[in-house]
Amino acid sequence: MFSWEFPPRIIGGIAPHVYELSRALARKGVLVFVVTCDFPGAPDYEVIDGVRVYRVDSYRFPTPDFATWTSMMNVNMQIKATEILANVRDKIHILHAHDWLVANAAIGLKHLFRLPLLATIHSTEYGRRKGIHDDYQRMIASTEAWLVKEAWRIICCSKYMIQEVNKALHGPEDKMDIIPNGINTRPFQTTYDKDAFRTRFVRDSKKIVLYVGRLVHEKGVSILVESIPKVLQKVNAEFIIVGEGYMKDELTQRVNQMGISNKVQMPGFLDTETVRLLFRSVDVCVIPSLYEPFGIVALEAMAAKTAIVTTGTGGLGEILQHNKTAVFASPTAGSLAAAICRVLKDESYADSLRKLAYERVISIFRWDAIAASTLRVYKRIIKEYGGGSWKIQPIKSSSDNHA
Amino acid sequence: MRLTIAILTWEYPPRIVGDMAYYVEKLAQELSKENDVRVITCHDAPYLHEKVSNSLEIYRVPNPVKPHVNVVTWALSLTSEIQRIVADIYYDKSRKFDIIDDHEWQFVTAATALKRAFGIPFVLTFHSLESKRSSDPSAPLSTCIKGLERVGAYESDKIITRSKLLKSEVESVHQVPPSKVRYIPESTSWLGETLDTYNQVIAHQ
Repeated sequence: MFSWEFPPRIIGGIAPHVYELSRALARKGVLVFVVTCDFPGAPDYEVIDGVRVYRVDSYRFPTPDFATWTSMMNVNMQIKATEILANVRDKIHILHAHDWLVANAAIGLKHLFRLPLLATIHSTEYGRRKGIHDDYQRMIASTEAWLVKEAWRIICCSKYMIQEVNKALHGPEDKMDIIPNGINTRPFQTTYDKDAFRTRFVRDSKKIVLYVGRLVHEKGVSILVESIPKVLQKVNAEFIIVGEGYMKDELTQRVNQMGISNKVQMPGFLDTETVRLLFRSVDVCVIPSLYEPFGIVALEAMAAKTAIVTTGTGGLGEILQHNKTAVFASPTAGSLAAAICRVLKDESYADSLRKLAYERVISIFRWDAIAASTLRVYKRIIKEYGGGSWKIQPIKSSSDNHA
Repeated sequence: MRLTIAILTWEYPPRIVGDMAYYVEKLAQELSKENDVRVITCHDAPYLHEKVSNSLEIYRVPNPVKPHVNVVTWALSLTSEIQRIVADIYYDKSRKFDIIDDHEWQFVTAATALKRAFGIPFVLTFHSLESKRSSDPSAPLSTCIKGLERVGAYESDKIITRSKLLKSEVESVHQVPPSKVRYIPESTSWLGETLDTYNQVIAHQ
């Protein structure tokens, strides 16, 4: 498995994904080698819960830009992986690459060792940048398309992402599988004093509404802010908006303008543990996204047994179902406010949402379930590879003395 | 002994950027008189396989990624494609390469991986060095190229240069022992010396 990040090197969502997936696969008896980039203080080689982790020199000399760094890092990653594969070729059945950041290394290795390549596409340059605007982005998109072409099969986290890969990278739908992101629910089960924790944020027994995410347009946070006065007309509640982003000043200004600053807290970034306890302590979590390839925040809210109000955009509409595991609202202040009020005013309804959402997260989004789905894709590829002609054929008639 | 030789080069006629294209063409033609030579090179057109004779075949490979922001990203995505072509020849046809002769830094990581994967020994021919070519050798892009030269200098079994000056430059810039670098002048014994270098490296396997 190839990934440019793996704990303790955590830059985005791929590190936790590969960490949880590789360990869950190892629990199922799969021999997993992870080749990733180095990190100060982390060993070059270690075994983590059965996963063999190799950290390679990630090239620390200056480079003109991130893409050139990625190319140089791939050189080191491939040299190390060639050494590993040359020793254990017979034990390896699949090469699994995560995103374009490891494309050069993984594609070369596929051909050198004639092993089938599986790619997980976590996001696309097209989606990240809202289109392709210059040659730098075009090069990355082209690399993504190359990886999609070279991969035996593609894994995406949602139907929405499959459509994006199909549209932006011409990945045929019949070679893609949907396997959602997973969540480890255990960190949400620690014991703590809920009332004491709530008083850290809210003094009386008011209801608490939570938002966790970047403060950017596509997350729909400004619609939530607009809905606050409408909620306050009906329910005595307080709003906690966690996260940072370029809209923070604008949102703060709007809150002051509407005269609700005593009802809204914007604490910025909070540490993971505090965020987990917040999810568990509040009365409703709002996910008002306008663009969402997957929506890990929904899994966190489900694992924390929080009632959810959402727009159901993109992957959110696949994770959650209206009236069962969440309340869906239109992306307008009025609709959002009505949905929030409904959850806050009807406790038995909120309890039913929490219960069904939790049951869904542990049945579908546990890493063991995700690993089982991934293993099914591995087995399918191994079967197709075994039945195909692209493999290392025995030498027919050889006059040379090659062993 | 008749050798099967893979030559990796980013220039080969009709793609002529500098003098190196002619040199590699002459080398391939002369070697192919008594050896089997496969030249793997690149061009800006769909993949093309040309069988010049029974003992000389040229594989021209397009870059799988377009466009590129610089020569390093260009060379390194092309490298994976070069690896594909050599691996396909290896698995489907020859199942044997006695030696890889890589010219310059562009595909050194292809040669390195092929050496590590198949145990094919690897000779690196330098025609010039980035630190001498570049107007600003400390610029980030130049240090990347120098880094790739360094990978080749360390991973190769022997280095060939075409001038005495370049031999000493390679030794000092990349800190390799003089015994690893062979200067082969243009003379009547040029081809014999090149083959002798290949055979020495193969014998040391």
